[in-house]
Amino acid sequence: MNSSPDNLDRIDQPIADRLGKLRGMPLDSARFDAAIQRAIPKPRARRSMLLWPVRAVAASVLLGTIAVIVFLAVTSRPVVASPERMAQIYQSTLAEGHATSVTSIDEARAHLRQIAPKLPSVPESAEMPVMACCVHEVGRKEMACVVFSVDGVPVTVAVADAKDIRNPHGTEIQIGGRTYRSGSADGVNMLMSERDGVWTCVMSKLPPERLSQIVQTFDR
Amino acid sequence: MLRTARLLLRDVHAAEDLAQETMLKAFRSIDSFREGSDARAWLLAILRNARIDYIRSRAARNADLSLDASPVEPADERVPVEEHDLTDSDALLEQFSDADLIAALQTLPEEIRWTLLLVDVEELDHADAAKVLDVPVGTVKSRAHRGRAMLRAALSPGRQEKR
Repeated sequence: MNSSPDNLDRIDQPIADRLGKLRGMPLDSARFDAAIQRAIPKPRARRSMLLWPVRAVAASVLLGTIAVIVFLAVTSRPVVASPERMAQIYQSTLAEGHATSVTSIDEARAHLRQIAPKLPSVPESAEMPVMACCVHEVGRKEMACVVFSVDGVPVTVAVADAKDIRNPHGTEIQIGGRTYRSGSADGVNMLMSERDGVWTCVMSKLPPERLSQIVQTFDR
Repeated sequence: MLRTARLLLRDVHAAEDLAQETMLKAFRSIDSFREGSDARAWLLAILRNARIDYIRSRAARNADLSLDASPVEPADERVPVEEHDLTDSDALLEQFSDADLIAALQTLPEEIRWTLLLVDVEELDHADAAKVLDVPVGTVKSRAHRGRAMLRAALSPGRQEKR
C-alpha cells in the first residue's frame, strides 16, 4: 500500500487523463436524436404555443369588433313597421295597465318627454279627446303612442324619428295632398306617413274611410 | 447526456432511455434553470435524479435489486496498488481500448462510477460534482481517488487475464 501524496498523483493523474479521453468517444446518437425529436415539440410548434395568448387576444378583439359592427349596423338601420307589429302595438296601448291615462294632449306630451325626450311630439287634433299615452319599441326603435277616442272607438297615433322607422310595402294613397301608406292587420286599419323627419302612424278599428277623415284633423 | 448514460449503464437501450428521460425532464423544467449557471451541471443533476427515480421505481417493483444498479456507497475498502502499476503507467493505460476502460468502469459501484464520470470524464470541478451528487466536496475527492485506484486495479494485467 502506498499512500504518499506523490504516489497519489502518480496513481490518479494517468487514470483521470485516460478517462478524460472518453469524452471523444464516438457515439451513434441517431436513434436517441429521433426519439428526442418525437418526444419534444419542435421549436416552431413551441413558438406557436407561445403565440397562443397573443392569437387569443387578437381573436377576441376581432370578435368584439365584429360584434360592435353588427350591433351598430342593426341598431342604426331603420326598421320596418309591419302592419302586424303595429296592430300588436295598437292592442297593447289599449291593454289595462300598459299605457298611462292622460286627459289632454299637453299632459300626454309632457309625460312622453320625460320617458323618451328624443322622440318627436305627437300631433294633436282638436276634435278628439286624449285617453292615454305610452312608448313602444319596434326592433329597438322607440315610438311614442297616444290613444285618442273617436266615436267611442280608440284611435292610436304613433310617432317616431323617420330615420328609425320605414314604411312597409303596401298601397299608397293620397289624402288631402299628402301621401299615406295604408295597411291592415288583425282588424286594425292604419295609415302611415312621413313628413319633416317624423314618421306617423294612425291606427284604429274604424273603417279606412273614417280613418282617412281622421288623419286630416291632425295639426300636421 | 447520452455519453454519460452510456458510460454509466451497460445496456445501450437503458442508457438511451435514461438520456431521453433526462432531456424530457430538462425540457419540462427549463424554467428552473438559472441563467448564468452551468447548464452541463444542471443537466447532469437531472440525469442523476432520473437514474435514482428509476432505481427506486424498479426497487418498488422488484425487491431484489441488482448490485449494479445500487447507488449505495461501497465500504471504504482499500484497494491495493501493486508496484508495477505505478511504473510506466501511461503506456499501460494507453494499451486499453475505450471498450476495455468502459467495461472496467462498469464493474465499479455506481456512486464511484458517478464520481469518476463527473470529475474525470465530464471534468466538473469538485464543487460542482458535489452539488450534482449531493455530497460534501471531501466525499467527492475521496471517491475520485478511490475510484481511480479501483479502476486501475480492475485494469491490471492480472485482473484482465482473469476475465
